[in-house]
Amino acid sequence: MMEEDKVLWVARYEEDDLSATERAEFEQQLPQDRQLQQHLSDYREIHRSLQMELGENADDQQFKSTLSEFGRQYFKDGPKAIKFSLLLRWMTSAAAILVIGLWIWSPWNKSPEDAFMEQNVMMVTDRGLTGDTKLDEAAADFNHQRYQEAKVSLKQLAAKAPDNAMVNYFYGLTLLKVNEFAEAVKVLDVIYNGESAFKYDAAYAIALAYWKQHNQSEAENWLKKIPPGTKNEELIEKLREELK
Amino acid sequence: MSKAVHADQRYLKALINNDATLIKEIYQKTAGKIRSFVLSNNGNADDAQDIFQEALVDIYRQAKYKDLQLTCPFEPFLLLVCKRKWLNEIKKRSILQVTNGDDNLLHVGEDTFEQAEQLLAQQEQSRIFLAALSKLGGRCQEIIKWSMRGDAQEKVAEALGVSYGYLRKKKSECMASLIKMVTKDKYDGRR
Repeated sequence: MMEEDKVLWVARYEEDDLSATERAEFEQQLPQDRQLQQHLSDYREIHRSLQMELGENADDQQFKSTLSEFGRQYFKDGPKAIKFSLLLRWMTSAAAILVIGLWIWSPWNKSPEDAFMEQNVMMVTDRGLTGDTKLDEAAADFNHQRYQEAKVSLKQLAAKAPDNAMVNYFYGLTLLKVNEFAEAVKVLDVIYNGESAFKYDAAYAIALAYWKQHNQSEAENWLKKIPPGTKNEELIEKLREELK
Repeated sequence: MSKAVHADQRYLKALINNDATLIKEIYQKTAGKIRSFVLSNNGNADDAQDIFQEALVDIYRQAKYKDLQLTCPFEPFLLLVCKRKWLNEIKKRSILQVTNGDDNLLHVGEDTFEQAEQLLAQQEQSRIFLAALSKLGGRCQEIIKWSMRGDAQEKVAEALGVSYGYLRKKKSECMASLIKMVTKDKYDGRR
């Protein structure tokens, strides 16, 4: 067979365009044909690269949105030049404030709920969502822990966009924070049963809701629904410690 | 023998999972260094932010779509990728003078160099594949672009108004043309 025909043969094999007999013939030929193996390897490599370049989905966009948010924080507000004496004075005061702050704040004693909420920042930029004043307001309220205000806006937004996983997830978290547990579980359960990036965060938030109601067994049940390897592993351990 | 995966693979996992806590840690540890490097080499804060984000997106995509396994520490790897990207960029902009010209931004091992080079080579390869795709006929481009979006192929066929059988046949032909074009360039390039 000509080399060019082999390339097409590989393509048809990979695209499931061969009959059962042709497929068996290809698989029989493959182990002894180095050229065919090379074409197959090239094909898979190129296919993966194109998928990588052309297959951007909602998760990819969300990831970029996270980067943009941190980028603004860490690159736009760079270090400013301060006179040394001023800097020294500032540092002395800051150190004192830091010691007092740490004593009050005690991050090492942070509850699982506080630690979890801290990693949940509602980011609405770069997702084609900017310009929606209501959403911007809701995000600002949520991020500044004005949960009663956030609840009102998010409830309206969730009613308007019942399929918007992000809005509904943050609405669920807001309900959790204002101790409306039954409603929080109802909203978050829908997110858990969907396929969004918030799926297992929602499961963790439901576990928190049960923990806050002293229902240890339900909290544990929800923790079990989170597969190993998700980003919340440390938080899961922290909550399990609390459940003991 | 394949090399052991480094414990910092957790950062790649964090990128894939969009884990804000660990991503923030990455920015905390490394953004300042890249900012200083770019600012001292004819760039501004916006350039630094763009380069840093581009590098993280490249790493994320390689990890997600090509199962990139980190065999070196993450921080020097990321810094090196950013640095190479910025050096390429200033070459493109024809700014010739570069301070920190040798790799004194960080002390890195051979593994880190190798892995950073591989990542950049993969990106370059992807660029070549896309350029080849743009040389195919309009229908082929349409079929390949739609097929790569991650939807079920039956759904793609429906969207394109063709039968599933036709889509498989046409996609095979289009992909074969693309592979021939790319491998021809690859082999010609070696001559």
